[in-house]
Amino acid sequence: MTPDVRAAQAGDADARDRVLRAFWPRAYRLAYAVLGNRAAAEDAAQEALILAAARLNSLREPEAFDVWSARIVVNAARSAARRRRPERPLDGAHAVARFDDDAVVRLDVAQALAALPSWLREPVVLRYVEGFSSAQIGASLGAPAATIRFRLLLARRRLATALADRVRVAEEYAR
Amino acid sequence: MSHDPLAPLIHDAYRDVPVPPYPASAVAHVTTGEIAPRRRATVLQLSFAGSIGLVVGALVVSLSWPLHDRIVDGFAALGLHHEALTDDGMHVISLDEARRAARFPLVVPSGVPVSSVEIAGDADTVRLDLEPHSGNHVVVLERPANTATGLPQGTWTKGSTAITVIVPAGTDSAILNRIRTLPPPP
Repeated sequence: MTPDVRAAQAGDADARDRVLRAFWPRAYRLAYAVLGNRAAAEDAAQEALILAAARLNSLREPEAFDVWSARIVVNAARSAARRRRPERPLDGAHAVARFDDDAVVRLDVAQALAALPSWLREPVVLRYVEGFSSAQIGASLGAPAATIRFRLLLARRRLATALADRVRVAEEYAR
Repeated sequence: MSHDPLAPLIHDAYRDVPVPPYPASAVAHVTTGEIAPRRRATVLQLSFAGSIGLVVGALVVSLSWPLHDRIVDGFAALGLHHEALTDDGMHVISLDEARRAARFPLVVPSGVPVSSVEIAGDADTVRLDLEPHSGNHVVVLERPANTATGLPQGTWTKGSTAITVIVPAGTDSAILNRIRTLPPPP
């Protein structure tokens, strides 16, 4: 990704297209995980995509593209959340499209995540969906890494309680 | 690295989320320069905001100090003088205030320096930063809302030495010393 980002900043239109097309699914899934609503997630992801395209040349460290772009998505999702009136906390259409065991698990997880306040949900999403470290999450959310570790601690505890049965099953599989 | 059973559950929950088609036309608008007017508008907005800021600043400077003191006293009367909201939604308050506000007894052994105290809005979570400026000693006390006993739990998030955290135990609110040893740093 980093070479493409450098090339895009140097004016390579094809590289720019590759960077943005690779960013799109990440942006959508991240926005969806934060917002829990497909339509709102699409709006937020599109807003983030446009901002990333417009500001790509201002990114000083191309290797930081993932963290930089995640921050744009989270900010766009926050703005979208502020604009929206409270609705159902979860649009589980994708999760129940196939009503099998996996779909039920996804729905459970999505509901547990949606029940978290945004200041806990955002670091969890960045940790588990994006695979970021605490420092990278802190850079994305504008908070110290120690604060992120604290938020993850609380979030894990609440999720573990909400998903106690699922966690037990996962642990048995891991053995 | 320890196994985190939540990781596959959450990762898998979002791995297969269907993604809408790439909005090529929206991105094309950016490359054709349609964002430029917005940038000019932003500059105008900033200029306008700057002018307003200068006027307000001049008014503040022109206020007499007694009036300033009265304003500060007014904020103090509202109880806002010690409190600040952190970016993770915690309120920064004094240890004494935390002891009064927390929904469980909060006792720190004598001789342990407490550099900052934060409390969540529901008063169920208190975070103590111990030893100023080191950032190495943080203890989190939380009273889970969904347990039968509702007793607080003390949890180290980071640190290098053991500490005694005193929390209540039993339904009769008897006090129990719990000596917690630290897990290895993450």
